[in-house]
Amino acid sequence: MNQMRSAIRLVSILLVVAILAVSVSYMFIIKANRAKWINLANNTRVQDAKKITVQGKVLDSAGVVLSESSAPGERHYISDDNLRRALSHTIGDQKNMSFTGVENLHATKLLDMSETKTGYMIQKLTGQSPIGNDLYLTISSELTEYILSVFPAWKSGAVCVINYETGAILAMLSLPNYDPADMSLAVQDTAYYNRVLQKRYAPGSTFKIITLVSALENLGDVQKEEFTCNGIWNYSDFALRCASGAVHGDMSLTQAFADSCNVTFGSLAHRLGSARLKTTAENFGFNFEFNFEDIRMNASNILKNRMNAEDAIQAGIGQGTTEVTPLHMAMISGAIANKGVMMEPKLIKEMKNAQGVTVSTMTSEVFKIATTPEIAEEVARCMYETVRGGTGTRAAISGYTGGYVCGKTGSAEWTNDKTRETNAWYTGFLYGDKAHPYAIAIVVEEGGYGGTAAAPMAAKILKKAMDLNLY
Amino acid sequence: MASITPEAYRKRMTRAYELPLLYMVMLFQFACMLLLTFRDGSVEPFSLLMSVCLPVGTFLGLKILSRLFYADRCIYILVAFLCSLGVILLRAVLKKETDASDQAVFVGVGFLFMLIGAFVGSRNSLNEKFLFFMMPVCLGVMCLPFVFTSSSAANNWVRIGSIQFQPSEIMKPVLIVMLAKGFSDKSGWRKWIVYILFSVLACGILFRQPDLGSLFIFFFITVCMFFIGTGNWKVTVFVLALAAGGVAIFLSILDKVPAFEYLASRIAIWKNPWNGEYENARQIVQGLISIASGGYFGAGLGLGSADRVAVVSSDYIFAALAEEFGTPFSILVLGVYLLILIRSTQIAMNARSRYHALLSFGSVFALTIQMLLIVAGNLHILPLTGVTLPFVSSGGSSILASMTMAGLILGVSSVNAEDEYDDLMRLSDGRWRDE
Repeated sequence: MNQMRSAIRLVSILLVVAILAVSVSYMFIIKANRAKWINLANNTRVQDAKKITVQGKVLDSAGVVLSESSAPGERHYISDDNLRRALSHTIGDQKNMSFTGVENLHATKLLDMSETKTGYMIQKLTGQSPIGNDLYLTISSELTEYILSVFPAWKSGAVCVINYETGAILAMLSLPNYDPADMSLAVQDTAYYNRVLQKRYAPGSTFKIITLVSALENLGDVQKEEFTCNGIWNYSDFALRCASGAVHGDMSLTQAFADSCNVTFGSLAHRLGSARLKTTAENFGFNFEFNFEDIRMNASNILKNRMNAEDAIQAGIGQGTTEVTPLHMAMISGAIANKGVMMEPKLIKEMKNAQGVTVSTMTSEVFKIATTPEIAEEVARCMYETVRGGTGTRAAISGYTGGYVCGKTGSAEWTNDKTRETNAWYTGFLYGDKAHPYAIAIVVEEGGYGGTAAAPMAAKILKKAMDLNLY
Repeated sequence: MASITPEAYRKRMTRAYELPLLYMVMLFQFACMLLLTFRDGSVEPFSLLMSVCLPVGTFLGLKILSRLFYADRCIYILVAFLCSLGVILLRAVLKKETDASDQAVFVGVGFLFMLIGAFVGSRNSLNEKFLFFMMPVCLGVMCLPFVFTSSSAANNWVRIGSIQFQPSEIMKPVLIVMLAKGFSDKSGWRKWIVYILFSVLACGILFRQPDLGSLFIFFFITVCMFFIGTGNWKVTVFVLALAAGGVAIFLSILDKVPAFEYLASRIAIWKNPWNGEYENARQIVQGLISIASGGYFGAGLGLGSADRVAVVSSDYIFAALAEEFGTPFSILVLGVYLLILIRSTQIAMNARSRYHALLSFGSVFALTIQMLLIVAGNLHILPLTGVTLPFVSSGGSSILASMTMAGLILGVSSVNAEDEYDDLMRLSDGRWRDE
């Protein structure tokens, strides 16, 4: 009998542990996923709430009203066509076509679907429609409109500008876009896709930022080394060439970066090996399912399946299976500018309820410590050299003395079809400018060279941001 | 057998918290049903009736139970709470009134089954020849679904005319009674083999149907009761390892065997319900959305939209619970099952014979394992297995079977109480009664 009792005791303890384990996992699962699941397009409760609640307003950082409702079930947008379209991906839409827009991702905030059901009770008691919360975004509508005006016509792509000290997203643009005010209009393929957050591009040479960090972290005094580029590097049975057949000759690491020498960075990646390069990339947020509060962003991937030497070389120059979203690239630049600290991207500056009382304000959060301040400074120096005398000279802002314009260009191959142009990349930041801590990332699909298609845009956009005194 | 009077028992054996617990549960039943009565602005007769019937029924049931047995009242009150929770949820979530009223009827009939279970539990073990005779009968009953096929893909229902029942559910208490008798017998493997064979055959039938959730439960009940009854570590661990290996092999060949295509697709959908075809993963996705919509205080009784989840009345009743009442409350409900587990374990530990110990612990093990399976399925921790949440889920067979098992536990607690009273009286030379 005693033996039986101890057996019973054992099994019952196992069951108790199982129940506790299920309860604890339950709480964690809900905590991690609640916001995401409630805002899914398949959640009919949001559609039901829209029938009885007046949705709150969406405003930009200057207080300009971007969208509002005066009665349940309807929505008004800005009257200016260009501005409205430029902001389409940021704001979202009422038909749940956008996956990442504010009106989709934060529908429950706009409808005040809070736990206490006060809105529902108000309606039952007074017959008045409950009114949702207003969301003040970090976005500047003026800057967004300006970006649309300087982006090459008829090209697709993405631009985003962030404040690398606070993490606030100052502007987002994705093309092609749609018109949230008239969802019945025909749109281009992938128009509802927010390329800033969802589209993963091969980063091309912009990835050399991370390769450089990895080299500085792992290869000792690599800054003091001299590199020689003969325009081509034959590695086993494939040949690595520098862009447009350039032959860079002898140069320092800084010059190799500024001139975007594939041979140098390919060999650095080879010396690092896949494992170390992947670790550095993961320190910058690669291979990570982002779970931010304000935005939903696809993960950036590198070296996930195969990790042999050839993959490392390809990854080192931002090709192969490497892929990154534009916002993540801006965050990477921002981390370099911000002494190696990557901030969590924020979109909502403030939320006020229908009575005008502030319910919550943005708090800046550190997402990752990507690298040390010393290495970040060294990389920033190289990125400054890129703009001063390398491939990014057209990103320089004339007459700007408040800080240093730093950047990296990229011309990413995305297809084997040699008749198609590369994707033009530029990413960079204003270094040492306390009043204007901006980081930017630009992709022009099939735009050609980053230095000619994307870099000049960056100069204009950052200048405009400074003129608008955005923070 | 003791000759104590009910008054003496009550005076001596009552625990201080039983009465407040009873009143809280009655108040809960009354309040919830009252809310539902006035939900649409007009008076709803069924809910109004239930707001009186549930608390009164719980109270009277306790009186009746106490007259007949010296059963553990705490467990009864908790079970009554869960049953009424089921009725309340079904009324709150589903539009058709008959779902809730059918459930209420089954709960009432279930009370009778609970008394039957208590009677069986308080007797010493049944005649073994009778059990051997019942074995093929039971296997026959379990094969009925092959004859009277029903509509759903997993063939575990029997429909005769307008009556529908699930043999695998009803077999659970029968299996427990049998195995309790078998494994409490110390004579050794010759005896045990018979009972194990019975269980294996039953599992085989379940595998063929296929009703994998019930298979899982039957298997684990058998292994558990074998382990407790015989104390044979090696065989237990060996069998578990064999089962784990078998499952692993089975999963890897799943894609290749066309007969189990249904299963393979179910597992693929479970692994990733978010991408790919929403239609197939709809139940999982809507279930999770439903749970998430509960928040801290719940959507409000009657205000949630849990009926968007497919088969919410039985498979996803836990999700409906989480949405209507909120996450903290649903965790409290898990706590109720935990309390039942702990109380029943104490009862098993205090049992005076091996048979009774096995009977009570086997029952609570079955109930707990089933609860864990379905809650983990709702939370997407495990694939959904289509078993029911004991006492709460809709389904006549489920309620009756669960009530019977609860009855078995109560029966054993009754015997324990009598024996304890006897001991106390004997040790104090009769003085204990007068103090």
